Amino acid sequence: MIAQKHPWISRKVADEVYARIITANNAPIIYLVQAPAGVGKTYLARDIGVRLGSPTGYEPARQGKVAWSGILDIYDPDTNSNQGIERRLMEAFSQTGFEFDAYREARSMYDIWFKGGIVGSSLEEQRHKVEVAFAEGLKAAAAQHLLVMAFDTIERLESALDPLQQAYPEGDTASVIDWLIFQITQLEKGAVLLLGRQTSHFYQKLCAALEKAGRPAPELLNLGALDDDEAQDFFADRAQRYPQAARFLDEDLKTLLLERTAGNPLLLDLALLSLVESQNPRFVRQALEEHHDLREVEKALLKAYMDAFNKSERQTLLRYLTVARSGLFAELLQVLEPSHAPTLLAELEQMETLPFVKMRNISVSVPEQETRIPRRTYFLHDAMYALCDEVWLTPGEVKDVSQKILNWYNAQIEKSPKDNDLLVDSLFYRMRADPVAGYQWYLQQADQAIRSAHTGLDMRLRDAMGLFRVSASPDSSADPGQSLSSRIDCDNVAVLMPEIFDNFRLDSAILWMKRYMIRGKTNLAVKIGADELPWAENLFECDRRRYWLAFAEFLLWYGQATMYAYQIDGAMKLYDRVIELIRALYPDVASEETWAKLSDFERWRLSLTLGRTYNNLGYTRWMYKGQYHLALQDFQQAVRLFRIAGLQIKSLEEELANTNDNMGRVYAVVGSEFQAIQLIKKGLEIRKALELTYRVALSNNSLALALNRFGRVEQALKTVNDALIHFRRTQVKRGIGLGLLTRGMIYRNMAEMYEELNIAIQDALKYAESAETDFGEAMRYFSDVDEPIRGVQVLNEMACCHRSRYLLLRHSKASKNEQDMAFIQGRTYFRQAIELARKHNYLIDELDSMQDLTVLLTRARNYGEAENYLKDIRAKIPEQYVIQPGRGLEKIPAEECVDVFYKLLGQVELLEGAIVYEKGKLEAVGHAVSDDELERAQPTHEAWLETARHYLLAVSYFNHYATEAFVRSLTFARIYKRFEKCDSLLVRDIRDYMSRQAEEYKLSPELMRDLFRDVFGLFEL
Amino acid sequence: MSEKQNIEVWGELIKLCLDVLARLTQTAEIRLLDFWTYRGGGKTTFLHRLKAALDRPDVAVIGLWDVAVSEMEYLIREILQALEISPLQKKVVLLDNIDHLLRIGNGESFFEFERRLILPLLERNDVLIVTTGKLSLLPWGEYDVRICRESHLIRALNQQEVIQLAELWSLDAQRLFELSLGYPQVLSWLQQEPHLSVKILAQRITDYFLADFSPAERELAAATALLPAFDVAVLRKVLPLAGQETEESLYAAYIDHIRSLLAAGLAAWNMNVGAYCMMNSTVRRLLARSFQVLYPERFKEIHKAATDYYQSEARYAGYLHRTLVSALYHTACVQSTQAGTDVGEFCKRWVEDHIPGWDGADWKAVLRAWENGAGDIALREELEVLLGIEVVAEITQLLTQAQHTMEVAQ
Repeated sequence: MIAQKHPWISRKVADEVYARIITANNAPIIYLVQAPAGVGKTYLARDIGVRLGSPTGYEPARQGKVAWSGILDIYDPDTNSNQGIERRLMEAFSQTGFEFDAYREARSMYDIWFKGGIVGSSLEEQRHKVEVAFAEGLKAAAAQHLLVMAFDTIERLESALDPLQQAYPEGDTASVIDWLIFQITQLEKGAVLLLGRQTSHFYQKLCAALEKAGRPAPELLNLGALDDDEAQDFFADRAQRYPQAARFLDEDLKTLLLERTAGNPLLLDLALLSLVESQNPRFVRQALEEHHDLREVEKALLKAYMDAFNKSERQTLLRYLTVARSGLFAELLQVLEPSHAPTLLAELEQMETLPFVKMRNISVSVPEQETRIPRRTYFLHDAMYALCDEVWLTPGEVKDVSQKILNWYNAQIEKSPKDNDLLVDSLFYRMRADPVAGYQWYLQQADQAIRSAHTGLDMRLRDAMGLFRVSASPDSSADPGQSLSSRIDCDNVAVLMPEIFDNFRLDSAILWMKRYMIRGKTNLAVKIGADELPWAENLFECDRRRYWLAFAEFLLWYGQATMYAYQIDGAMKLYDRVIELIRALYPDVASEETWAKLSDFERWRLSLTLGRTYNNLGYTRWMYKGQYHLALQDFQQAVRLFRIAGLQIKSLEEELANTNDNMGRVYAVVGSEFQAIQLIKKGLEIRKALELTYRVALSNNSLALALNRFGRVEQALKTVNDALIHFRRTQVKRGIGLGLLTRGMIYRNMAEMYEELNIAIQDALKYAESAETDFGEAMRYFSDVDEPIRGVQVLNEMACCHRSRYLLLRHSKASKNEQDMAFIQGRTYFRQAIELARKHNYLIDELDSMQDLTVLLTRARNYGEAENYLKDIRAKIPEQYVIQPGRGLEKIPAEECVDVFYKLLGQVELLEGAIVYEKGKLEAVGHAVSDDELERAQPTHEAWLETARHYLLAVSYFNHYATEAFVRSLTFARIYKRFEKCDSLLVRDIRDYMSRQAEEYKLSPELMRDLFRDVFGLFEL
Repeated sequence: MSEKQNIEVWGELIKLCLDVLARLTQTAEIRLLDFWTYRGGGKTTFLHRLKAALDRPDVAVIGLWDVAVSEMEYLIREILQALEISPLQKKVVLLDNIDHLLRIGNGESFFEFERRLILPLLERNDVLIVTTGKLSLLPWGEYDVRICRESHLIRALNQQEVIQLAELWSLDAQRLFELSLGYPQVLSWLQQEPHLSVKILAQRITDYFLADFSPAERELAAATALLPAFDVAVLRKVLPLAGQETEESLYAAYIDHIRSLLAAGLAAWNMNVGAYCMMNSTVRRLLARSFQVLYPERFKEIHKAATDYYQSEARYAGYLHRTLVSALYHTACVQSTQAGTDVGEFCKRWVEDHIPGWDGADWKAVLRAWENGAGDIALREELEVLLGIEVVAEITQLLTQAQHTMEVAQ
């Protein structure tokens, strides 16, 4: 018999599968081919591929109406990600070039988004669009051809699962396993071959998903040993391949070989090679007869290679192949053995014929180009890795070689920092060279990938670490052919980092919380935090010193998830706990000396954890508690912590940008213009340097808000329009909503300040209309975003817009109908805002909306209802914030002080003052008059005094939370407007009255003098 | 070594040959006996002894041919002719230094010799071939040759044999054995120059055994004599290659040098230890002792570096069976150079301190390696000398106890 052209023996099952494929009707055919290592799964796939026209089975091919994908090995760098698989399948199946257009578009958009710093549910939605578009692309390609796809080494999908994925088996199509299942369920026709070792978890998931999709179940094919006929074919072929074998392959030996190898073709080959190559075949035969496993036989084969002094290249190469788990290739060999590379490469090519050496053409990216090129990459068969790890190499040797290989990867990464393949492939070597440093590197990379929403890289890194974890896990119970454990890694980890498994679980929980939050799946993040907390707590208690920082980080992200879920008090408790934990270990965490003692990794982690905690505390205090000064202190702490680490790391730069932005926003609230603008611009600058275009847009939005706050409306408008252009370009709903909200606020401000800005009233009305349009559009965008606070803000702004319009219509003497409509609309929106704020327990926003409604009511002269609302507002503010006669302003400890209450009380006083003034005018006039007459009227003497008292109290309150300059800007115009018509006697009375009030309320005499001087000093006394 | 009529040496090897000859039939499994030892180990002397023992009426001895000095064509012709004309039932062909053919050009002569002579002889049922060479396993190309051959070491003379020689030569038996370890060539020097100083002897041993190596290879070969088991990783620690080679090459440069050791028959791969070993433990010990005499500081440095390496590797429980013996050996060697150290106690303490970290070790294999000196009984004997027999027994006890404790816990 002539030796087969290909190195495999055709299995009968290949005939069956092939026949089924080519006679397929319109239903999809899915095979899950399971077998231990060496039984011939890849050969089976190659056999089918060759029958379908592929030269070796590895490459894609088309034959008639059938298109073969080639073999996609989940282990390889170009196919261990969703995007990698998509690329390969497109190359294989695209015919017209248009089938995957929608996919390309969706993918491009997705890439632009995450590169620009967009995160959250919008990005997640876009990711789903990508996978759906791909599924549609496959359908389009399947319209003309029968698509046959082959995925090898699928056990990696399962072994890459981390403990949390197993505990929370919800489909997450960011991971390859769920993406693949999703794509399979979408197929309407075609064939899929899934080959690997035992994968019960994957199989169950796949069956469940197919059932749910109404598709037929996959066929489970356990590829077994060679049967009698196949065994005879095998021996006949090998007798041709190894002429010496023909001399000794008698029936007895064949029977013995089949028995010892359980008919496993690879093991048969190893045993045969051992007999052929060994200088002591008698020993090999004896080993076969006496031992039930093949270990001695395999060792004899290795000895034959090691003793061959005329083939030293093979010895060298076998060592490198054993260590280079991510593959050995020319470029790497050139670095490892520069003087010997040519002869080694020649020998490597010769070794392709060996049954335990695999060569695949793996596509790799070309530096600074978009293209990928094939690279001949060599691996050992898994069974050979296991053998070499056990009988040949030692952990120390593996460490040294791994370090050298890693040096090459690090040099490449420095040249091409955006090449994800390099990052992912290098991980295994890092873990072998130094598991502690490798693991720390992984955590930093994973953090960066997650925060930049680089889902593909994140999942690949996670899978690679998961695979290492499996490799380092003792697996004594498993059938050796199923085991993915490496003794080298088990021992290395046991000696150098035995805590890795606990670390991994804790860090896995942390990473998943971060992932889900970035993707806008807050509820899942909260669930993980809540479920894992007891275990994490327990781990921490077992070894506080070891786990303090990791546990602190766990609490931080759990706290953030809780905050995003609007459980504010719970979140703050968790943040406080983080701080307490860290202070317990490092009481002087602010000092440089403390930081100098930490490693780079610890500095990074501590900086991030504690800095972010303070940032989040600040954010919570600002957004939900109204504690502006405390918020500023928190942000200042955060900034210090991000800087003190002294590390030039992207993640810390981003955090700094974020905190600067937040801090700027709060400074804007309290009226510190310079700080507000500078800080926001600083954040903007950092984000530009980091090329996070979406975040740059967010910074521009913040800047616009701040500029608007300080009356720089033209600049604000330009800035927000810049932001909106970018938001619209990226089509991120949340961003567009925010931009529109901001622009609406600017327009509204312009409408309100028409007199100060010298804007004609008709133009002001147009601005009000523009504001209304923007708010309406913002409302539509926010309806798709799970952020109730935005809903409240938009409703409130819309209401304020109508309020402004009402006033403008009054001033422009518009018809009563129009005025009434504006009034009603305003009131309706205010009530909606209040209701929504109450529903979500947003007290501050509720009171704010009530106060804003009161302004409307006051303008409409609905004083009774206005006063009721003001009373309601007062009732909801704790009494200790209220200035009491004889007591003045109670001193509230800084850590409890809620600044916003002062703001609200100040506003209440201003309004009450206004109401008293207006009612005073009505009383003075005594009868109905026209609006113009009423406008010109003066209130009663008592009303004057009462108004002044209210203004005095208002200023006192405002001074307590805002800067003096800002207070003046808030109050000056109003007070001056009212009092400009006072005659000198009245002024004297007011002055005396205010002095007495100041004394009665125990207010600072300077306050009274300053106010009096500022306001009344304008008049001649 | 001159003829020693009344001294019987290598008796068991001679008996082996006679037994194999006796079983020589059509179905006999063994028809080729390869005897090996290093240079000066007595290959030719052994063949002469064997030839004398084969002086029987039913056996035709063809040879003793020295392949190193005989022209191949002539050799093949003469042997075949001799076989043809011999009427006797059994023939024995004696071939000395057969591995010489491997060193001619690319070694193709050896395989040609195999094809043209050895294989045809083995196909007969009346010929036993006995060869000598330096390699522990001659790299016969044909399966049919390999399957019917056995390899045996021509051992050094044992103490009893040396005593007999000493009596014959009127020399101090203890000194003779201590200095020569029974190695034939060294015995011969001492017979001729009984008062040879230790240092001169050490130099002579080194020069003689390493004569065929280049200077760089000599350094490596000499260093490996101190390492009962070695691989590239430990060589990198004890003998960094000079210059550019060190920085660039992790393996190939070292393997190139190791290849010369393999080709010379000095080392081979030991699959139980997963490392290279010097095949002839007498040669190893002679070279090691000479090294210590000639380069005492370097001796210490190498053992120290090897100690660090193997102690580090011995942390890994899964590999303990491959590293323990070396770890203890080198530790003992280092400690033996420190005045006032109780080597045995030091080593025992080291074992005690590390046992807790060895959970998961293959204890059966560990104990086997410990008890048989990782496959080198001479190494075991050395350890007994270095640590003391009692301490060796105590360490055995410690390891056995650890096995019981940890296996029960599992």
